[in-house]
Amino acid sequence: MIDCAFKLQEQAFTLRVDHRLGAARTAILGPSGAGKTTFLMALAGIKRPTAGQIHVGDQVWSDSDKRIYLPTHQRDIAIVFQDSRLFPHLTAFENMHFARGAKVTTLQIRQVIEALELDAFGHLMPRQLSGGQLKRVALARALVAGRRYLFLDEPYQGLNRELKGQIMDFVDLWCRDQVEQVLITTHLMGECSHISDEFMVINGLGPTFLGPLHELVQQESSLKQLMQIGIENSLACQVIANECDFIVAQLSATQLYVAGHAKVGEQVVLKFRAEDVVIAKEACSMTSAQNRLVAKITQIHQIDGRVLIHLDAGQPIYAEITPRALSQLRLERGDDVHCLIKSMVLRVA
Amino acid sequence: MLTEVEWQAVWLSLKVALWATLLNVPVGFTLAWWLTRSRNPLRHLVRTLTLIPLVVPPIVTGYVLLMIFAPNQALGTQLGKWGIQVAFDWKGAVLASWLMSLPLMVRSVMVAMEQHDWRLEQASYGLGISPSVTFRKITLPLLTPGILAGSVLAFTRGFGEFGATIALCASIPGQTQTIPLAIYNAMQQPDGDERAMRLALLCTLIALTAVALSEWLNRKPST
Repeated sequence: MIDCAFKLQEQAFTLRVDHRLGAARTAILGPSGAGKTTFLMALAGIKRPTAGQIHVGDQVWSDSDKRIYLPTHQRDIAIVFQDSRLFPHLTAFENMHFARGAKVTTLQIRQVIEALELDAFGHLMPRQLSGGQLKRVALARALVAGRRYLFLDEPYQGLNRELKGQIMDFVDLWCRDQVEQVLITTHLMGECSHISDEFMVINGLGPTFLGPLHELVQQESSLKQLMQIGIENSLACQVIANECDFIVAQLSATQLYVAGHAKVGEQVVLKFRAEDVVIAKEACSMTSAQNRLVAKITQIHQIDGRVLIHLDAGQPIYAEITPRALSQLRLERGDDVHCLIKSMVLRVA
Repeated sequence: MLTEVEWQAVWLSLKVALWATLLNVPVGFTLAWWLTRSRNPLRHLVRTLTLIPLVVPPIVTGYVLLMIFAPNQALGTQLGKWGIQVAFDWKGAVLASWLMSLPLMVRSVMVAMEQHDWRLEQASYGLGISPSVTFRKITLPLLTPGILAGSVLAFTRGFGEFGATIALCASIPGQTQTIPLAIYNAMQQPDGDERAMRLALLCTLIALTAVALSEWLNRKPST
């Protein structure tokens, strides 16, 4: 449990937060330059809040009134910096070994090396590695530090797509067993965690918001910022069939066809962006879109010339359409509509 | 090849320069650290002060040292009571060499510290590593090239020290006569040309060896 109520004055903006971060996985969202990194660095003790407190569990990490600032290395955290920051005089493996926590077993180290595919370049010096490779080593180093809190600053940026999914899966799995709380900053909703419990929306110029997605989309002020970032849908489904290059996932009464691989019986989360959903008033079977869902419109939000439709298809779905489409279709709350989603845009998490 | 007195000059020069360098590493490092890391307003003054031996004529530095450490001066008398003689002794030569080469050491280490990426220390703390381990395993190894470069400069500068040494210690063969002083001595004598040449060549050779050694110690592993 991270209780933070502080103010931090920067040149470009003032960060004000007053939140209790209790979820195991919190994604910190916001456009670049909004203060996401500043927020993490304040929690880490690398930047000092101008005023306010940070309490974690029964520890005081920072209290400007009592002039308490717990040094970074005593906060039981592991940080992945946006710029990797590998130690240049140590090889990739030596970097990991240097950070290795006392409780982390050799087997676990092996698992990290395998999942992040470090074997091919583990013996090289950081200056010989590419940006994506540096990122992977920095991530591995933080995982094997075996700390209670994990702060990841844009950890998946610059990784290639297939590996990104695999690494995100592994980090999620690792964090569930090994880490009490993980905070991930990102400017893309799809690039934080496959299953974030809560989102924190930061905008240096305005207030910050914290909550699960379905709550944040209800308030106009937080929804406005979420729409700027781009809303990502996630549907929890069960895999019922696995063909050669696609899987069939069951969502209540509907079957969804998804490009990709997964084991039959597995629970998966399907991800797709709100703007990738097509809404039709009538069932039209002659389209290339492989997936059709019947859903009921529960809310329509119009913000700054953009429209977000809230739909209920057993699970909430968000669709972004243009105001022109809204007036043409004369969509209204309570309407039953068909959602068309291409297999191509669905990602398995 | 070399006479007994000349050999003594070589060994004395090496001894003096090595001692001066050994003193220079901790003092120069600490001073450079304070000058680059501290926000103390006095640091500007101290930075200027450390440059004095570099800009003031060496003979002046030696003269000032003599005024402090001569046996008839307060500090000199006090040290003499404890059995420590500085002026007209090889320890004086070490003091003169040390002071004259200190600015070079401080400068080299300061350049290394200014170029050092101090965010690496943050990264280390951010993995839960304590400051003392971070210093030993991250900071010090990364600053070593700068310390080595400074040591070589300090060693060669101390090895060639002349003005301050002759002022503080005079040129006593076998006691304070280092190679530069011996060369000067030889040049003063009508038949000393050959001796001066021999010592000058030897002196150059030792200095070049020191530079080559540091280059080798500091070599980048080939990729």
